[in-house]
Amino acid sequence: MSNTRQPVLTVENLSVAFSGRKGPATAVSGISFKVYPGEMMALVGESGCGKSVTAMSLLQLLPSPPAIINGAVYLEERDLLQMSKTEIRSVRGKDIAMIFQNPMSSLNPVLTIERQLTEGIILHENVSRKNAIQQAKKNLNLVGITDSAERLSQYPHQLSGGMRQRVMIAMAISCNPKVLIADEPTTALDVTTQSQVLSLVTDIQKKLGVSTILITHDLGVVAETADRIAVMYFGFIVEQAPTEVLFDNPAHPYTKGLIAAVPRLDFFIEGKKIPERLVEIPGIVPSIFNAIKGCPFAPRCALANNQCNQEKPPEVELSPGHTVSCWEVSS
Amino acid sequence: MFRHFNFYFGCGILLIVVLASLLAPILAPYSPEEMFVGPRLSPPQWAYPFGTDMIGRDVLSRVIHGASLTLYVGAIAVGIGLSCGMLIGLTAGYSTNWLQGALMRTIDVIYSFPDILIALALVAFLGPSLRNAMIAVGISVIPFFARITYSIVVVERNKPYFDSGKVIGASRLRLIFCYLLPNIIPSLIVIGSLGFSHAVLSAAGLSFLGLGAQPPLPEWGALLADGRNYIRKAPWLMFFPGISIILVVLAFNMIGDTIREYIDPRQRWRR
Repeated sequence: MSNTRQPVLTVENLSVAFSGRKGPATAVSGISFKVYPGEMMALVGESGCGKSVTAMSLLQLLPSPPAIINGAVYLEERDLLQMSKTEIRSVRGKDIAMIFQNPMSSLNPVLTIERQLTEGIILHENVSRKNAIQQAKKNLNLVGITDSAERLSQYPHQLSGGMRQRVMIAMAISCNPKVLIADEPTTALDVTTQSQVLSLVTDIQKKLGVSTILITHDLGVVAETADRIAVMYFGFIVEQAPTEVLFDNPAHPYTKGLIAAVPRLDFFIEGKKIPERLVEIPGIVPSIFNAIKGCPFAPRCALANNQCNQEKPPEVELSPGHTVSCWEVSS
Repeated sequence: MFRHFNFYFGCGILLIVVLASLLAPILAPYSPEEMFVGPRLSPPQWAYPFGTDMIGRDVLSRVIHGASLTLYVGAIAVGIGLSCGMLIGLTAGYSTNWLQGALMRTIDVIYSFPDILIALALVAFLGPSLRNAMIAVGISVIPFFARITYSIVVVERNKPYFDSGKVIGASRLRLIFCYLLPNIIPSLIVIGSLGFSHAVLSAAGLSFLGLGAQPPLPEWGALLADGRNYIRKAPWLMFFPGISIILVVLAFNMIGDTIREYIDPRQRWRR
């Protein structure tokens, strides 16, 4: 990915906190990343590290209050966070579309597939109902549903999980969005359907050239699909790099730990030595109610020293596009 | 097959009741208020199929004439309760700000009183009459409908499909009318039909206490109250109005259930 191109989505210093009884809980603390046209970027991290909150806050989907959102999110030139309700509504579905993690309940159970697929098209594009249905059929074919005429007249409960996720994807691409946010699109599906849906998302992304943010906790999922990976931990982006660089040359101890924790079938195939036990990262994620001074990973990090506990590590660029926040690496 | 039976049975009873209330002057063998058409407290016999009451009025005629009153009471009370309750519940369930708290806490406070007590207080304020009893019962069931609507709305608005509606860019009204309402109406229809029976019973209770239908109006609840003193000597005085109330309530529940199944696409395959 060349960085000379204009990014389609720029997130600058985004932080999200929730005001709670124990004081504000910071879910995302000052993350920045860019998404370039036509690339697939992956946000990877464990449960509760702020991936979904990041995605939701991009489209102002978090009720605020209680959410306190700071920073800026630029879609090309326009700041999404400063938009009025009407403005953001015209962006949702049109410029930025989203796929949720639970296809079983993400479709309105009382509307036919046709109604749901045409809704966005009619809302955002000035077309007649008839043309919208044509468009919907085309989109269904695009996501690999062949008997589209029959499917259009059906209700969500008549479709299987994988089928529903395909419909969700068809809905998401119905207005040719600039950015597609896929929030763990495969979590609720079984493994074979997962790989189908995943390759479908990749396919669509390539075919339509839509920039995609893929949110997942599964490094295996992104290894083959994403162009660039941002690793999140505790509301911070600890490392960002092109996929091959990240896997070949991980810099942050957390990233190293994650990669070591993935069972390597390829080692087995290549006849390399397989570790007897999978490596784990000791400890647990600290509570988001605790304000931390230093590096968020320090309590679990084998390399942590005094400086790590006291000061937040700055972001340093190791090679073009590969940034990391770790004292061990920068010193 | 069984489901169809439910529906036809309910409709059949409702049809009979509606016909009875429309054609009461023709169907009823006697005037409901004419005294001494037969002996006092006559048991059911050919001339007086439902028997006669303590002043010799024909119970069958009174029950037939009471049908329209009962339907009327139920419809008005449920109409008031459901429309106001639904509005309050929807508003409170959809808004996330202070309005939600204010509305629901007020409703909670009112809900903590037995609704018959509220109805009683309202009738005491408005003055005893059948019309005031209907209004009072209608108002007293608002918290019930509001709470239920609220809880359904809160469940539905937190389901992912509501978010996907937002993500498409649907406006607030669209979210309410295309996403929320169609998903809560099936439940509301069933609750409405249950509320109908509740309203009929509450109104009957008020009439029983002398605060609703005034004699000689043959409202079914009032008939029950009239017959109470003679329950050992003349059980038919309570039996026939009581059975009528039960059948109407049953009919409404059965119809409500079938309509819900019809409206709710998730259950359509069973048809």
